Amino acid sequence: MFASLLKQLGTLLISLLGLTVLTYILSLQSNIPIHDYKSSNVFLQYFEYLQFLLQGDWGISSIHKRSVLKDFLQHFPASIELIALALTLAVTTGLGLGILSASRRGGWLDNTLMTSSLIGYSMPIFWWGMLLVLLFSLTLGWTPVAGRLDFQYNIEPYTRFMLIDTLLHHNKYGFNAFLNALHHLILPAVTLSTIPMAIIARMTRSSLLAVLKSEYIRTARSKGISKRRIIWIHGLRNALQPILTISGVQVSIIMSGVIVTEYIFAWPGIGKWLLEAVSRRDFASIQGGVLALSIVVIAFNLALDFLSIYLNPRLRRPS
Amino acid sequence: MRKSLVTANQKAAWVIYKQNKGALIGSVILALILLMALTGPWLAPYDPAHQFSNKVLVPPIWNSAGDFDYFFGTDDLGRDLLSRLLYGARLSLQLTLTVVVTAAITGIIIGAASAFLNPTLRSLLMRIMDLLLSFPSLLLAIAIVAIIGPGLPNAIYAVIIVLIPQFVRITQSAISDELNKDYVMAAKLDGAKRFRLLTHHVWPNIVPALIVQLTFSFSTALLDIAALGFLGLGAQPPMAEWGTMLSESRAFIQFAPWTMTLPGVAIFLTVLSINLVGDGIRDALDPRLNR
Repeated sequence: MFASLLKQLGTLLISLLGLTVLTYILSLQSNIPIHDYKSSNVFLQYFEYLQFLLQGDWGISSIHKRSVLKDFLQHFPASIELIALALTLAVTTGLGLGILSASRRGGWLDNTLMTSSLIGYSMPIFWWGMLLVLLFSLTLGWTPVAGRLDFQYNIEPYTRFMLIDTLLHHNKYGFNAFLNALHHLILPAVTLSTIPMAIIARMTRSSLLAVLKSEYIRTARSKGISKRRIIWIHGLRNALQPILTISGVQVSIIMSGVIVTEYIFAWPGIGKWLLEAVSRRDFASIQGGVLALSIVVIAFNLALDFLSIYLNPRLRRPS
Repeated sequence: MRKSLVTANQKAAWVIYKQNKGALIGSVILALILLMALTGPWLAPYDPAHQFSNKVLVPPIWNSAGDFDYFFGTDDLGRDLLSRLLYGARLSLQLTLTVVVTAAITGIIIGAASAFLNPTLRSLLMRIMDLLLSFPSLLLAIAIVAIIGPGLPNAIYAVIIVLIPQFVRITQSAISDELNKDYVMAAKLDGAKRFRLLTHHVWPNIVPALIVQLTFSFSTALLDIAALGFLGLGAQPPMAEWGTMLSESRAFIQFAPWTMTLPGVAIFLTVLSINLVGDGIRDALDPRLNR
């Protein structure tokens, strides 16, 4: 256990170093140096750059004239809200549909679900978002077209998580502001969750089916254990490993997707902020945004690795 | 002897592929799209950039207000959508092909060359590849476009760079799997040099894995190129690129939904058919997998 943790941390360190090299190259593109370096040597400056990063000085945005780290932290909660809901939707619905599909293997429900999931994972997210807007916002009028909250609500950004902030204003608006925020959140979250949901559903199905073929399941069945208990208790836990692995990839897919989704729904999060920085060539913000988002991805993957090790004792032995 | 064995395998793979309904449907759609891309300039009724200024936002013919001169209608500048989609098919597929072939050749060469490296260097190289792989692909592409500047050629370079690590990784891991097998040991004892081992013994056995990776790379590349175009970082208007066309249609979703649905359908059908074909090929080449 300890050795494999150590190996993970080593990999993590290498990843972070590689990442900072990339963002350092990005920061060099800026016309005005983003930090005051003492050394004139580009390689020595890299180490100074690392020092600045560790001290929390991520440079000053050339367009907003504000600290990049502060800007990032202000925009990040909006993205976290979106990502968290999308990920929850993707994992719960994906798992559920996959289990349902596997337990009705070969039936019409299985076929329909697997065809839809194939359609889901071939769907270009930018087009999917626009289709959903066309159907649910413009034609049916069920959801707002863009933004996080209607203008009539005046919410102080305490935490910058709109769902929490609106609840904190409960005495002013009751639950109306909260519901309005939730209402704005639904369509972007559905857009973002569709592709990962489809992939998780397929993975769950095939992984569960593979496990259900094994000898110990046959033993359990011959002992007269109910089908439901076999799937939920005996099958699922052992099928989780590949699902967890694929979920790590989904985080990276969601991080790509969130940029596009925020662009479509004018969602004031990190993706929209980053795209604006790219189009206005604000390299301080670009390097900060890329760095921060990648750290999030790395942290997520690390957490999933630990979860896999926890769930699968065989992984505790270093290979 | 070896040759006849490979053909037998290929025959078996073809038999499995033929039985896969999805793969057959995918092949037919893909063949049609390829045909459209190849014959697009002859099929297209108009120049894709020509603006019929008195025919702005004409709906497609299935709409009662449609005009038979413009089968799929026109966009906000009065350009014929059918012509733009046909030229777009040509452009998008050309770009995708360029990207995938370049990335595959580069990646396979790096991956194969790493078999000659010393283990420490190889492991360092693979860590770097893992790092690049763990990056969200669009974020990496955006970061690269940010360094070299927006525009079509740069977006293409970015997508190539994003795809290379996948090929390096799969080539390297397939080779190292094969190198541990008995038949390689036998060839080694027979006096085969490392280069000959790779080209004559290992290579034929890793080709299936590479083909599968290659097919799925087509859909990734197509999607990433279109996404960059959509975000305004890739192909620029007035180019008839599917992602850029979608981006231009954003302002007219409500009044002219066809300007948005049609390019989207084109991207979606292409990606779907590639994925269907890819699934079929994977199942056919690896019969041990569950179906």
